[in-house]
Amino acid sequence: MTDRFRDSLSEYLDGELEPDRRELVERHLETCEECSAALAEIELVVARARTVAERVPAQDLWPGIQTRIRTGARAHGGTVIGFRRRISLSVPQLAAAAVTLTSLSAAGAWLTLRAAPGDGGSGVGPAADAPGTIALAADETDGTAGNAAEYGRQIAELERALFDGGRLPPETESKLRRALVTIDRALEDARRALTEMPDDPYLEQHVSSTMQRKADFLRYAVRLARG
Amino acid sequence: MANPATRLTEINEKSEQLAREAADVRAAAGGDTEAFERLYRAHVRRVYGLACRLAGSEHADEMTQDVFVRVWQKLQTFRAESQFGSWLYRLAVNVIYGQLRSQGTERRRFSGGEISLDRARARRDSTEIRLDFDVAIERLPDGAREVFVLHDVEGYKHREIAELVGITAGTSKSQLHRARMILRQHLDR
Repeated sequence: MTDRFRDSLSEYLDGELEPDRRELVERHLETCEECSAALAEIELVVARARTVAERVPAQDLWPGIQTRIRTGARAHGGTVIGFRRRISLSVPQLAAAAVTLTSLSAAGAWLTLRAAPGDGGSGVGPAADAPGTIALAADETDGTAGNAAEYGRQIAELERALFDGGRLPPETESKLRRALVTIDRALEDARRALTEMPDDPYLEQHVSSTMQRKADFLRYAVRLARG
Repeated sequence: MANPATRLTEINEKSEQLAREAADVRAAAGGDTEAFERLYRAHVRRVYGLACRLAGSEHADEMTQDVFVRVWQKLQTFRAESQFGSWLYRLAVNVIYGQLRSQGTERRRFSGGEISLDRARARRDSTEIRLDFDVAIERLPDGAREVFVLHDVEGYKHREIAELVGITAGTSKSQLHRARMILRQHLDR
């Protein structure tokens, strides 16, 4: 079996030879038993390759995978509730939509709206001044998407209640509005992503839960402003 | 020729299986780890086999876990234009190769392309024969093994292999031929 023909057998089998070369090999195979036998064996190797045995790990790997999934969620500051996927900035379209929401918790809202030095009234604390770098906390609700339109209506009413009538000291109102600008930017990015990927359940839920958080934040602010 | 009724049953069962898998993919993308576990159990054997053949048995557990963690992270990017299994195995190859490159794994080299024949002789039992062939694949010289696994086992084209592995298509073809010529010694006689 000459090397030049032997070395071409795989390409011949895979149909990758130029026509003139293919013809040469075919004519050679008609007279060379050794090459013909080698070709038949290569065909068997290829056929066998398609049926290679699946391999079963000696131990169940799922527990380790599950732990890493949960650990990965916690490492990004989120929590896994009911094994629900953390809300994080890993969704590419929302990578720039970091929202400062530390004031969403009751304690945080209280701290940010307590009397601050100099303004005689409520002042929004440093959390609202920090650049929007804090990833959303994990979904603290039961995870249902809620109704975005309803949240929009509530938000509009709460903003009117909060900002109309000059109830808030100017400095407080200014800080609140800056915090809301950050939230609105995140919402705008999420809505834009949803436009590009309509019916994406994750994005739909994210938009709704972000609006719910904004509504909760405003509701708390209104309660504190009214005393 | 298969009985048409039998064939139709097979098609229906396959369709139902794919539909169930699609539902699990959607659920897992939304954070459902129970759905993801079902996907894991459906595909782990093939992924583990791929990891064994590309990275070696000693690294296969870790590689397999890495693959599924990455799959979890990337699930939201999966689009239904392709089957989930095809997408998963492509991702698995990328993950395994990425790990091998980053680890700078010093892999075994076999001088002259010869492999040990001690364990790889064909035996009568068909399962053993398949395992012998599998062992023979793992004992191939590194370059030949990679190309053989990617081309003949996983169905990659030479152009794709060249890009993935960092060789030319011509080198991919010659390595494939080298692997096949070695493995033909370990076929059932």
